[in-house]
Amino acid sequence: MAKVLSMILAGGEGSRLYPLTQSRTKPSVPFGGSYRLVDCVLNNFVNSSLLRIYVLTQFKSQSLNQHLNKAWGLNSITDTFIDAIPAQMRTGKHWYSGTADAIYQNLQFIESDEAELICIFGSDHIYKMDIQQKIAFHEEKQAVLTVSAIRLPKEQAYHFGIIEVDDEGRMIGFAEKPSVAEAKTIPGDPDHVLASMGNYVFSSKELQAELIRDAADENSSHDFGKDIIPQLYPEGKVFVYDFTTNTIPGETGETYWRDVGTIESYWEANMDLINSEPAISLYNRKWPMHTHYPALPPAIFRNSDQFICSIRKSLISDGCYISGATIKKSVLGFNCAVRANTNIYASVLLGDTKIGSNCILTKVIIDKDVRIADNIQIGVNLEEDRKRFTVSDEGIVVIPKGARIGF
Amino acid sequence: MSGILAMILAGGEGSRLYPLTSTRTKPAVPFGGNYRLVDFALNNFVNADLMKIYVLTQFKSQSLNIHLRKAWRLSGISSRFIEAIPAQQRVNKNWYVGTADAIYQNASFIERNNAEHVCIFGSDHIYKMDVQQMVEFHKQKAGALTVAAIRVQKSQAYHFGIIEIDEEGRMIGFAEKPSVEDAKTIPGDPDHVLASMGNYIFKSDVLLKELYEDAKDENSTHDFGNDIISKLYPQGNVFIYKLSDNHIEGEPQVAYWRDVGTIDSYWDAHMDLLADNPPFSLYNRNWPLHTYHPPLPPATFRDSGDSVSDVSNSTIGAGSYINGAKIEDSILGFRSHLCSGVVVKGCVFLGNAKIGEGARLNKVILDKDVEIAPGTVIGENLEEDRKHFTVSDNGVVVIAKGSKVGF
Repeated sequence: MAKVLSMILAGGEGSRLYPLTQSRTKPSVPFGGSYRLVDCVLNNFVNSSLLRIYVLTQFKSQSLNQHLNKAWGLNSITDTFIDAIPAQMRTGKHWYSGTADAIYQNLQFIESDEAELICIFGSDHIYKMDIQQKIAFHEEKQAVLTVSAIRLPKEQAYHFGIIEVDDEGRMIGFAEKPSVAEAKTIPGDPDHVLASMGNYVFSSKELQAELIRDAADENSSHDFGKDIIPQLYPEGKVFVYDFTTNTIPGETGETYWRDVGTIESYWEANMDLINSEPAISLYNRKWPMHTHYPALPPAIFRNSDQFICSIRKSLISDGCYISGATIKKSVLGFNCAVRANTNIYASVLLGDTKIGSNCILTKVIIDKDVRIADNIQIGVNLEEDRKRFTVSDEGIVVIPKGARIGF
Repeated sequence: MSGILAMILAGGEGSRLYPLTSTRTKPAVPFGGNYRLVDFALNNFVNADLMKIYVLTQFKSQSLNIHLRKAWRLSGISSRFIEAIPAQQRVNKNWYVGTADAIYQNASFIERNNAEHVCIFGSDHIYKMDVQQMVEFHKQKAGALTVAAIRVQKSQAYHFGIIEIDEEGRMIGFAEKPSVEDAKTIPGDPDHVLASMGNYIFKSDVLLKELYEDAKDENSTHDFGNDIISKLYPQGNVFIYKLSDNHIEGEPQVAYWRDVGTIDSYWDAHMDLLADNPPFSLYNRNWPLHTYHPPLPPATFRDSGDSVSDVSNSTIGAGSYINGAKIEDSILGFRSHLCSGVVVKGCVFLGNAKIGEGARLNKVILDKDVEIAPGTVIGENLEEDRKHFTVSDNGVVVIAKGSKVGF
């Protein structure tokens, strides 16, 4: 098998996830109780036995760095590593101007490596992929570049890079975020388009040449989707890897891939974890989801004077202290304390939070380190909530990190 | 702090804990959902910033070794280490005869570390102690040996080494497991005795000299309690450190120390975790309890038809999957899977259990990897249970590791 080096783009600002990204970069946003967004892509590599990984950081990366350090530090006698690379002015005093520029500025790490193949993956999507299978496809096709793609309803075309393929899987057309009317649908399937997942396997030499060429091009925006792919595919060496052909032992059902770029989609992806037939499961023993576990005891459920805990369709993490509360359809991260007769519904608590007694929380995302006093209601009267908090168009209230409410 | 070396005795067979110790040494027995017994001693050192630690193993140590490697390995920049030392015939071909012999056979590790003082602690008790405070007491008294002690009921005297002290805290009498009548009570407190906790801090030179002399003594049982202390204290150089003088921020005033040497005491110590104002809590942030966390998602709660999950005074570990079950006064370890209609009361699950639909368990300890068939009832008819399982004096039923019950 060819030697592989992986570069994970983890510099995203995630401005549409504000205020969750107020103090941290998007890949560092907590997800699913125990995880951070970046864990999904890292587990994809680690569970595929690809353990030579650079994580390229830029924006508000301290929390991400700490997480990488605690959760993903390898100390190994072999040539494996998961190393964060901060933006460091290697080609001049400027920040990364696009995804291709981020790799170009770190080209030296590719040049000095013997890897034949370079994986370039984003870090803010929720999915499971055995990347070895994609690499095998790349080698079989003798491609210069292989782009992962997923079938999506045509109406979503304007969010994504939309791909046309021939019968052999060769890319023959590409449009970055086209209008729904202009988006080319899949032959024989007029309701769906093929969207780029922003995950690339490149042959190293061609990648290097392409990046050097692109860097010199003053008209380029230095982005893989906008610049590199359109330049490369007409040469006939770009292939499209159909994500639905990727199989993971122990996984059943439809392929799952979610961009959690907005408050709404972030909330929905959390809800996906607790549906009766979860679209994505965290429980597959053949695909363990590694992350950092702080030193915490198991979740404890105590009775209060009049109330016992009723827990329905929820995820409750270690270190939670639930006394006589009702929790329904919610995800509670590490170290959440909830007091008696409080009712939490359809909410996502990121962790390290204390909720008083007799509260009602409905469709609320609560960032870390929040304190909520007794008798507080959030998500019940959105008019009122809008005066104090971020409320999404769909009525999800977001409480920012460190908030003190009702004190 | 340099100059302090810790040697943790972790070779215990724990035969009275059978069948929990049928495949593992006592310090490796799981406790409190997330932990193993040895974690408490190790946390007492690590949280006290004492991190030159040898763990002496002997009996069925594989599971302990794996745990130490996964949970307690320090990366090696400074001179800190936590290392397992298996019995390895360093001085002769015998297994360890007694606690003193275990240290004697590894005396070379004390010599080569140049430590000024050596802490020799057991690893099968549940308690919290800032060992640094005991070290300071030991240095201040400038004695040869400091023994940690705790006040216990006189009626318990026959389990322990019972100590007499003078007003300065000097040991002036010692009796290993005396009868209750013979046990010397604390002056002014005729209901209590002072029991040795089996935790020692020695001046290194004294320790080495004593060990070499003891090794040559054919009449010795080579045990700290029976032989070394009894010989040393008449010289006036042995001092007693009371656990009640040890203060950890956020901990209750009354010191907690439990030997979990029997099935009943093991079960009782678990129930202590669930009491109102628990005498021992896993939740003090000033004293984090480190351990190994497998890569598992938060505990998941689902409904199953009409069967809703109610949880009352219980702790539930990560990776658990509660599908419409009732849980009362129980400690469920990692990966406890309860199907719908299951009722669990007063139980301790060590982890990775699967309980079939409608099963009822009352006062049952489930070792790891146990599967219970749907509809099985355990703990309601002890006569019947005794035919199949270990049942303790107090009526706790123990299901051995890997059992398949009711299939």
